[in-house]
Amino acid sequence: MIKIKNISKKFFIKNNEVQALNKINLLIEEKDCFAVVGESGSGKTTLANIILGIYQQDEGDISFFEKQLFKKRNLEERKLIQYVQQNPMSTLNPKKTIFSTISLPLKIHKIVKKDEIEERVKKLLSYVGLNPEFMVRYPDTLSGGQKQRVAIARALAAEPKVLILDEPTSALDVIVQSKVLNLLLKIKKEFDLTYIFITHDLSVVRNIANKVVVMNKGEIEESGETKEVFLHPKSQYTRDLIKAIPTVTDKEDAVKPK
Amino acid sequence: MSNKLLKIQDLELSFKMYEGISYVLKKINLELSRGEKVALVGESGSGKSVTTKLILGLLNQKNVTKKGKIIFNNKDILNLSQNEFKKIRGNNISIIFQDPIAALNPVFKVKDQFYEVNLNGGNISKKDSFLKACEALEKVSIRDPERVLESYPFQLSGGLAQRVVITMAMINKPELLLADEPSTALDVTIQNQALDLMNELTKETNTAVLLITHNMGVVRKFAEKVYVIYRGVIVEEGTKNQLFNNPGHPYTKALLESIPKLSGDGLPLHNENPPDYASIEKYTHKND
Repeated sequence: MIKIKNISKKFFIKNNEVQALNKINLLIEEKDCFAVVGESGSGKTTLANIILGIYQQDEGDISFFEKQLFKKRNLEERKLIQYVQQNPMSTLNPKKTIFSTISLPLKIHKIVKKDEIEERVKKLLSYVGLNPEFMVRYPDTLSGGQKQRVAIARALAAEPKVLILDEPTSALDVIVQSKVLNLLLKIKKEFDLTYIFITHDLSVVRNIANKVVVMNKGEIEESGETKEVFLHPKSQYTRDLIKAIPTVTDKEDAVKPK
Repeated sequence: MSNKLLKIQDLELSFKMYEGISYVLKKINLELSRGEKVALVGESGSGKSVTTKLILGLLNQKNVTKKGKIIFNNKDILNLSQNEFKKIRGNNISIIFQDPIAALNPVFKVKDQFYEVNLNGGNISKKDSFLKACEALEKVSIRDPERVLESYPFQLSGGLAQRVVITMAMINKPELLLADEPSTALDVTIQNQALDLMNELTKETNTAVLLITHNMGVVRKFAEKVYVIYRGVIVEEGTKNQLFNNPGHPYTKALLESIPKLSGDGLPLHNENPPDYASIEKYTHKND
């Protein structure tokens, strides 16, 4: 579905050159939950931004359903790949009501007729487990978990094929996190979505992703089926990363690599 | 007289707000011995951070009502004046905040911020302060302490800044270290380093640690004793092993279950209408 070939990206900061991505190759298939993990600064978000067309890569190609993607994209290409950002506090415009936030993609992509917009917004809100009456509220009256649900509803509004989730639960505490993750799994099934899940939380990856790629300093350390990578990590870096996860049961300690 | 370093008795806290009075803490009881590592766990808004603020005397606004006792070294410090608190802060009690970059002042070099902390411990020249800071940073395996001291905080990486903050908090050998989500902003490998470092430094000076966090994995790695707080009420207390192997309160169970497990058992399904955990009686593990 999404094919990434030899992508490289450099940033220039003053006189320093930072190689954010170095010859990345990936193949994301339809209905995958594809996890990208790595430390801060490993290039995860840069990769997402290139897939979204926010940055232009220095080298390499991306193709989407066998069609090449460039930085400049038409409406249809933009509609199919949507984005949920890390921080729910800053992703919503504080001056707009929830209704106008969610209805904007509906209007831009002409998903429904004008008189059906309100109906659709209500429907989207109930999909993500929010009361449709929240429509008239402003973001600052919602909790972190609720804001994240609004961001997910906004991404769904465009009826995408791919959702890029950049650390969707890192700013939430565990109980809320587990609710949002369950919601994401439910939505994935219902709408036949493909997820690109960017995170540094490996325990989350273990439970929801079917494929995983481990990145380190702009390069791919290891990739494969999630179960295989966690049980038999090949690279030393992956092993260290898995070992560093704080655990809560002895059963989990037993599956860590020695 | 007791040999406890910190004893919180029936602590109550409420904020007067526009909508009415908000009760934030309801009869909190908590104890810490010298050198002990205690964790206070709870979700966002449960009252973890305000507890540390009360211990440091940072809540003095007009709309704050506080009751109860905070006994530190056999002295009630809840209603001390700011001048008296100044002697305690940084010397006897110090704190590590969640975001290391935000905890440091961006317009001063690290060495100047160390100087300020060192002055707390008595008169010292800038040169001596520099040397003292250098030595302390070397101990936490920072290879080029001179460069770090001459930098501004935004020139440091997150892990490095957190090490600087931990060193700064420990340089006057406090009796009590409050760590408010010290590792939440860091990724897993650096989180581990920060915890190990805290462990090492506090062991050396026999400093007690009150760790505030919502990450149960961190609790399991670091703490000896655990208090679980929910909406301003302590719902369970016990040693680490008691709590993780045999959680007694339904909230603690829900908290432990909601963590995604590395063993890959799938995500736990969630109870959409949880009971009012705060009204369920506190569960205290018996020591045998």
